[in-house]
Amino acid sequence: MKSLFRNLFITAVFIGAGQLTAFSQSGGDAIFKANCSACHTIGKGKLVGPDLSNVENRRPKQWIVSFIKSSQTVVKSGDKYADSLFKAFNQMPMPDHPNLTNAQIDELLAYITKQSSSAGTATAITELPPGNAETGRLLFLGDVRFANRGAACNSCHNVDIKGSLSGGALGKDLTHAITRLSASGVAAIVSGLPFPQMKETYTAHPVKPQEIADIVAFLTTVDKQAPANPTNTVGAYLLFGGAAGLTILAILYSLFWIKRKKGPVNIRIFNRQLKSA
Amino acid sequence: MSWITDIISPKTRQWEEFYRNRFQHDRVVRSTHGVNCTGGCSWQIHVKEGIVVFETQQLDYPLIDNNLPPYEPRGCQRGISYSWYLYSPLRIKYPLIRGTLLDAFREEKNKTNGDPVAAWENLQNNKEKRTRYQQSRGKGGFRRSSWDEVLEIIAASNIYTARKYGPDRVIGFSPIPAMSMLSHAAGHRFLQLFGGVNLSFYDWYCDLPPAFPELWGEQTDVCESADWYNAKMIADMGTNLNMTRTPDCHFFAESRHNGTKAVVFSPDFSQLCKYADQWVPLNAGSDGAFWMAVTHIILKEYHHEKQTPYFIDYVKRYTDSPMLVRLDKAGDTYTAGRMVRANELPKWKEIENGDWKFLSIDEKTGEYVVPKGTMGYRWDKNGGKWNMKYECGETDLNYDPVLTLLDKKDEVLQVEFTEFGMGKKALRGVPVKWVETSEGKIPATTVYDLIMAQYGVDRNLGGQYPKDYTDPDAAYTPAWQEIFTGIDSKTVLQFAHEWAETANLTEGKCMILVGAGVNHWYHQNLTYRAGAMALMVCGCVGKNGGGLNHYVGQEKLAPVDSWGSIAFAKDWVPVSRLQQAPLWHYINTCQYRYDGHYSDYNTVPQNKWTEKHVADTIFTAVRNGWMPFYPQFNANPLELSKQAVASGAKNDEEIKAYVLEKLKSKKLQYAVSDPEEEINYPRVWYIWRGNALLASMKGHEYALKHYLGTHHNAIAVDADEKPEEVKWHDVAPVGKLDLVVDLNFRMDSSALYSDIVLPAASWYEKADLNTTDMHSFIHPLGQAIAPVWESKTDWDIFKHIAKATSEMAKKYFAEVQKDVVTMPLSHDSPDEITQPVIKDWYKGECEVIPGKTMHKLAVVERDYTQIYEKFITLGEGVREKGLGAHGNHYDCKQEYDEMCTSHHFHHRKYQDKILPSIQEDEWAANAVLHLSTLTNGKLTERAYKFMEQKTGLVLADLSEGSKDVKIRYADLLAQPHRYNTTPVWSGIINNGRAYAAYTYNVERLVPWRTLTGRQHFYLDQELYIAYGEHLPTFKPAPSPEVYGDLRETWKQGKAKALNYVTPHGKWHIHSTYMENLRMLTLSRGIEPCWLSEKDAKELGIKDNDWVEVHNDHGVYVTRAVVSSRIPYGVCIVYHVPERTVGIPKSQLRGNRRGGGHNSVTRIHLKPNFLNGGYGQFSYHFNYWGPVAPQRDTHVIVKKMEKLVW
Amino acid sequence: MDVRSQIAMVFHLDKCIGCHTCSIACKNIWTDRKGAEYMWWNNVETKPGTGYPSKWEDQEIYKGGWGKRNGKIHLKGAGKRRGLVNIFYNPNLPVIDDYYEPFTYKYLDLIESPQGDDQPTARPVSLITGKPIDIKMGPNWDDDLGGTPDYARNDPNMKNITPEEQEVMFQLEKMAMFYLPRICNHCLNPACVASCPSGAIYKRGEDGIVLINQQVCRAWRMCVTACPYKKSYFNWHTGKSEKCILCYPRLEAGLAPACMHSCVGRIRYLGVLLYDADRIEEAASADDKDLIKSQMDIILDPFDEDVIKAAKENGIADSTLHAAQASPIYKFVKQWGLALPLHPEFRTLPMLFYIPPLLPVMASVKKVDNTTEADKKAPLAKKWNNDWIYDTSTEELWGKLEQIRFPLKYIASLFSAGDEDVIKEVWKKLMAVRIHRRRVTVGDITNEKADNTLSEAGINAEMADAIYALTSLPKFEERFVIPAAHREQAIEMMDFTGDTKGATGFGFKSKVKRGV
Repeated sequence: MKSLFRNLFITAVFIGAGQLTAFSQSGGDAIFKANCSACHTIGKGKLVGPDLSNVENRRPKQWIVSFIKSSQTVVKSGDKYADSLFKAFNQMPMPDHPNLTNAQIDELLAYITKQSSSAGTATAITELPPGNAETGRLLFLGDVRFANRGAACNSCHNVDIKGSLSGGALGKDLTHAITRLSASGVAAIVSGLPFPQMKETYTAHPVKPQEIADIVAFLTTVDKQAPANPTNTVGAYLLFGGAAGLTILAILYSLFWIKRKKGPVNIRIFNRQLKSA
Repeated sequence: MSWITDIISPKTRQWEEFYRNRFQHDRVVRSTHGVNCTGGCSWQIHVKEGIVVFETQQLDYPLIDNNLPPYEPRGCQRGISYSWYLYSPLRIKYPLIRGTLLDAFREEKNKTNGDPVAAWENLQNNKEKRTRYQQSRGKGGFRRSSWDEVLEIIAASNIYTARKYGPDRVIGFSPIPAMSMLSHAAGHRFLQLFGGVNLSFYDWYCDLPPAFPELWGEQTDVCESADWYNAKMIADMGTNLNMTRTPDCHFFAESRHNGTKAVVFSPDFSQLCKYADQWVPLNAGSDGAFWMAVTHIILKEYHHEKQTPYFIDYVKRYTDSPMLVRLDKAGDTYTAGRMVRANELPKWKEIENGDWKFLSIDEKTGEYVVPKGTMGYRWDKNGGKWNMKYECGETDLNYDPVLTLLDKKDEVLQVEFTEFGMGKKALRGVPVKWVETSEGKIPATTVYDLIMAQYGVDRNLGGQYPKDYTDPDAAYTPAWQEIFTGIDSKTVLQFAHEWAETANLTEGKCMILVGAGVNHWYHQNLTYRAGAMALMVCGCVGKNGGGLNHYVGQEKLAPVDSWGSIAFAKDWVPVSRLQQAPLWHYINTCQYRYDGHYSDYNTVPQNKWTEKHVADTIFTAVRNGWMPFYPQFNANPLELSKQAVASGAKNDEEIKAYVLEKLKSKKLQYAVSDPEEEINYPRVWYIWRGNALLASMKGHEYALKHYLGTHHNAIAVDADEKPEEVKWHDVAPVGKLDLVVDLNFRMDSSALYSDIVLPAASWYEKADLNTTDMHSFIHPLGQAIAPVWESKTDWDIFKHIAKATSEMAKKYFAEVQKDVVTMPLSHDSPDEITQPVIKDWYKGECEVIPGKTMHKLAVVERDYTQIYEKFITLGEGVREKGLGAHGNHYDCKQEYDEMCTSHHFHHRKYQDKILPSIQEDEWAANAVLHLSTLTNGKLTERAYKFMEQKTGLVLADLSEGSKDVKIRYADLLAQPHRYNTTPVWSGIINNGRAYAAYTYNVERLVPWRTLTGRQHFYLDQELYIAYGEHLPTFKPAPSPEVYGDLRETWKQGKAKALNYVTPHGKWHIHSTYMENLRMLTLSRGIEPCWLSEKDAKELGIKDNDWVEVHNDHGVYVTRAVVSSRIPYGVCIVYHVPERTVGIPKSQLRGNRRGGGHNSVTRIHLKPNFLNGGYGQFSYHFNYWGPVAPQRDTHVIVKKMEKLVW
Repeated sequence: MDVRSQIAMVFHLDKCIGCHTCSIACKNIWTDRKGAEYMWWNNVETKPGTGYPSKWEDQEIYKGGWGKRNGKIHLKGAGKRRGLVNIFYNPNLPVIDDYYEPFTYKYLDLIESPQGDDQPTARPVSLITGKPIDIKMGPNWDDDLGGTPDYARNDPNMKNITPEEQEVMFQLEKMAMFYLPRICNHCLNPACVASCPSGAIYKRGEDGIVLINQQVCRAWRMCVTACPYKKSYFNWHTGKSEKCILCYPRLEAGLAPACMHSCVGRIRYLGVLLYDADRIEEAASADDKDLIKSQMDIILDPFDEDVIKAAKENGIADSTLHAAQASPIYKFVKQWGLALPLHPEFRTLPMLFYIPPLLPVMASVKKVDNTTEADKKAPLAKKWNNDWIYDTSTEELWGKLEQIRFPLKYIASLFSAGDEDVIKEVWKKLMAVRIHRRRVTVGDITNEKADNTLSEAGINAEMADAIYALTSLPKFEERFVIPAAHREQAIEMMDFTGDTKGATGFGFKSKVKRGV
């Protein structure tokens, strides 16, 4: 009989196996935690972004909905309030939330209103343990692995420190992150993961509170030591080098792709046809 | 290491619930699609979270026989796409009305202090306002309204029209009841209670095959698709089974693997040709020539030379071939004339109905006999002789009929036969017997001998017979047919031999499948007859696996016996106004203006009937009671009775006499004699369940112009020759209709052009019944969800219209009215033996006798305040008069009383009586089922007993198996049920037999409902002789030059004309409509124009180019599909496109929106179908009358250089 | 011997009416949603034609399936090495226009247009961009030989046919067409599985259904290239690839897949085949001409005691064995040898088999000058400008094999890697069945002739009757023999089945997370 069970669940593959991720959200509480708490508090003061307590009293609901869905669209539309908000918070753009439905935003706002009138809710991490800047440096550069095997920070971020290779350029340069975002703001981002790429990277590999504290400590040190306007030499060099590399790669790849499919197979038929005036 | 690796981890497969969740559903309900697809398929409608999510086919058909493939699954690509409509952006969710009309009405209503009838009247009298809203038709501007408001406008227009012009100006059109019979009945019932008019549809769609009434006295009766499997040789012409009989096509495929040979006749390599063992690509419209040659070969070899016993016995017993026909002297020669009547012989001069009894000769005695079963015996007072036994009706003695006079002839006479393909006449020897009649000696021959001569079978009688099969100049040899079909003689010969051999070995298992591809041609009846002859001479009709099986349109409303009474409100009103649609539209859309004399555009002998304008023949037909026409007179029929009373009439008879006198003195005019006079316009038009303005509206652009008064793209000019009797107006009227109301669930072309669009429930949202001739089950439409948004079922909508009208009548039309109603002479009643010869009372040729020499007259009482109550209550007329159909009758008092008392039926108190209520659609469904012989076994038996009396035969044994059957609506929801064998239909289906038409006639000797009671080789009616269609013959398709589609277009520069054919499409018409996104995606996003590679090249057109398909009547803008399967000289636009979807503006016609497929068609009627009062040539709604063909149309296809939306 | 069970299918093309009901049945249930609009897990093609996506059969363009080098097989376009090189840019992918840009219409304009001076019409708009679109391609664009010069004449199967032969394939006397319905072949040697860098694709043990795990897929789209039948589609909205799932949720409930359930031509059959998994590589590596045979060889006899024993050892349930023994597929494919794999030369060992269509007999055309004939016609008669006389007569009732329309090479190119003899054998059998049945039901064929035909085709009367019965008379349960899914045991591996009974279905619906 045992083999019968086995047969039911044999899965024949040719290479490799996949992995699982699960993600779902609903309920104001959960929506807040998943999307907002990294940068906002309700009644505990500003973090990366403003304190949201009683936000519905400050702005019309439609405005809030638009802002949540795409803050930059509102800013760019010339909305003065949005613009001043953007400037007041270090021009740190709030990520878009296009997938939140109106119903979910309703739930979210109801939650915020409810929390505003109660004792208030803090971010996920309010009090950081004391951090060790050196440990933070090692973690940041990937010399020491995160406990949950998350990617090292410099895979995507750069900091201007001597004796280190340039970090990645996918994320923002973090040399002056503490000035811009405050320590608690940085901590909130790492724990709350408001940005899609970070969410993708760290959801399954969360960074532990102690590790966050260490990184914050490290960044605080960097922030103090580095000049206010970092030189861009390394970046520029990399850019140049990258461009050259890309060209070489492109030539190499084009050799592989010399027989590649060029456009739709029926392009000649399509091109002869009359287009709408 | 093995090539594959196993991983065993249940977790990695947990994600599989992703797809499982989608499939889970909450409820499955049985329903079907009510769209004239003829499929009649049973569907599982899946509901999930209160939403219809998808449909799949039901599989639970009972297996009818172990030797037949099962019916499951039934349902095609179009049907399975239907659920898209429920929540599509096309869905009509609320009552809509065009803003221009609404504003004008509201304004008038304010001015009249809220009197809606006065407001409507003022609006109609204000020419400027009326024109303004008419011109806005079809051009946007719809507004959401409320049910209350639109019902008020509708009721006001009803009341105003009945008061001012008469109720016969209120018209309704809804096609094909069988597809959703109660939805159809709803509007009919309302209109007949109101005194309105219902337009026919089967003939209008050109789906009615006139050959069926001609040959068999039957509207259409064909085998169910399972019987195809029984055929051993199948000839398919003009029905593309893959396209149109999609759920049934497997029987065809499966029979091939059981040894059946399949030959497909089709000018294009149609989808069905893929199955063919042989594909015969004859020239479009020339099938008749092929069949004439086939029958020529069979008659020569298997009748004359071999005298195959099976064939000879069959034609002798079951056809008119032993009947005597007189030969009329014409100059030096003779021509075939009328059949000899029994009362022409002195000894039978005085017998009852002697004009309608015919003569044969007894083989043994050589004496004349009067065969039983002819129409005279059908209507004799003491029945019992209406059967096909070999017995003389006057002596009751047995006889054996003489088929041919070859060895019994007195003389051989040279008789003239016309071959219309080449316009040649030939004199051929025919064996003759001189018959002593009261008026002297006349030469007579048998129908069989006449047919032999007509087909050119030389039996050494002298004259111009063909030399042999290779003679190309004589009808109807294999070499002759090559000229018309382009098919080699060898192919015809092989076909004819295999056909006859198979028929002989299997006793009749040769079958013709035929449909629109032939029936939509101008000479469809002749082509059908040509094919039917090949069947009849081989004994293949009335046999399982045989027959002429015509499938176009879902005409078979199986429980017609009980349904008819409810639908036409016969339970309350004894008479109805039922209009033959083709002639009605021909006259009212002014299309007759473009026709000259009949012989100008058709191959006919020259005589007084053919030198006429068809409009004049229509007028003749109406006044003589052959055809109906409403509005009746240039006077309000309600006012006429008042005038009669004012001038002293005391009762209905005196009212009728008053009207008759006015007609005789011509003080009262027929509306048809002056259709363009304002008083004769139709006024209010209800459209439901159909796309009346485009899909079926041949001459669509003329409807836009003359009915609606909005823009159109026609450029045709009036013909030079005008009608003589029908009054000519130099300027044709524009915008005849006051109000067009469309009930719809989608914004189709008709809805777009209507004034008011009422949101109708779709097929998954109501209770209804559905039957078809494709199978022998009755299907329900089941309510999977309630009608969405503000929509209502058709039953409910007309109920509301009836209620609103009755309520308003209390205030504005309270007095009881007397309505004078005219009706034509009717088939299946003694009316059919009233006019043995044509005499026109209007010209003083005979006395005026309503119901004999003229139409019938009746006076009907109408209480407009009671329409609603009557609508929802089943009247006692059912109890008093009984029910029946097709000349059948049965009493149902007991069943009616049961409905009044049983707890399981609903009741309503009407004027102190408790009567059955049919307030809800489901209750009406149960009434239909309870009162029909098909679903209530007790009634079946009773109906057979009635037939026993009528025929003198034993028949009631046929009902034995179904005595206990009692089917209710809920039973149908649970599983498909097969209906009973019943005398209403001619197929015997007991014990799992597949339905095949006329098996009842052949096996039980019950006559066909024709003149002779037999199948007809010969049609001796005067008009048939005049038009040259008394004998089976071939007439070529008319040329574009004479047909008049391109006169103006050619003047603008002669260009290549292509024959424009509009066959049934793969992606619509059957089971769904063209704008369905699924179907548009699977096709080309448009209904294109298919061109051959050669034509496309000549016209400089490449695949997917935009083209304008145009002629004098209008323009259709579409894209081209260039294909090798299309024949040279033909272009195909599959019907039916909608002009609502993806149609750009025409660059040829002033940057106006291009039309639809019917923008380039115009109606041409065949006047021989207008006759009446003569046997099977007697009017019956959707049975008899001219049809509206469109296949002979020609167009010019031009590449479009600029694309403007 | 490693015995496995596989759900396999037979499509009887002679019965296929090209109605596409199957396509819609599938679409309604599975691909009627954003990102999936253009997917037709089931589609039907007209042959000759270029199909969907256009010219999918041409692996010079698309590089699908397996190639063979030095006796070893390798993925043509997306193997380990190539896959890595091309991982960020897959050079052989079909673009959206090779499928079609999905469209709808601005239907609401009909109801909502303000009063104007001309009739409104609903313009076509793209379902991807929402903008007006000029429709130039669809999922069934060349249906019924539509656009012959552009499509049918460019059918990739024309490669081995001479230009002269090609030309007559579109002429009156020899032209024909037939339909080819296609779903995922659920191959024994699936190129898609082998190509997936994420390991998201697998073949289920109990029934061989090939699935793409919607949680693991990372949108590399290697499967799109690798599948030579182009039956793996990229969902632009979810960023995952999807493909036919053989309606496993329906199969598990004992229902036939939607496309099969709805097959109104009754052409489809489904059942279990047992095969030897140890010999897949060997079978897929055979020479072109031996491919069909090698595939047939690894299909095992479900009545063989050794096979049954090995199957049981492998955990194959008694109910599955029972289904395998009643399998109509086993009969058509193995016992009768009537059904063939589509393009066996792709070497994926497809488990969907086709019975080739019978076609009308070819005809001959005589050129004639019809002007004198036309002049004979009555003055009002329409005259046709045709200059031919067409003859389709034959010596025998149905004509001979040599008289069938279409070069055999064409059919062979589809179903037998070019081996015409294989096609001939099938045709002989199909015609022998018809001749035998004609003898039984009509009797105008002599016993001698019928018996000779049967023996030439290598079958006997009993077998012919069995073939006829399963072709013409089968009931639903004879066409679809679905093995029990034993879901209860599958659930038990993770949960107590009794708990699932009360808890299944609870939870929230959430949209698929975009993968990139």
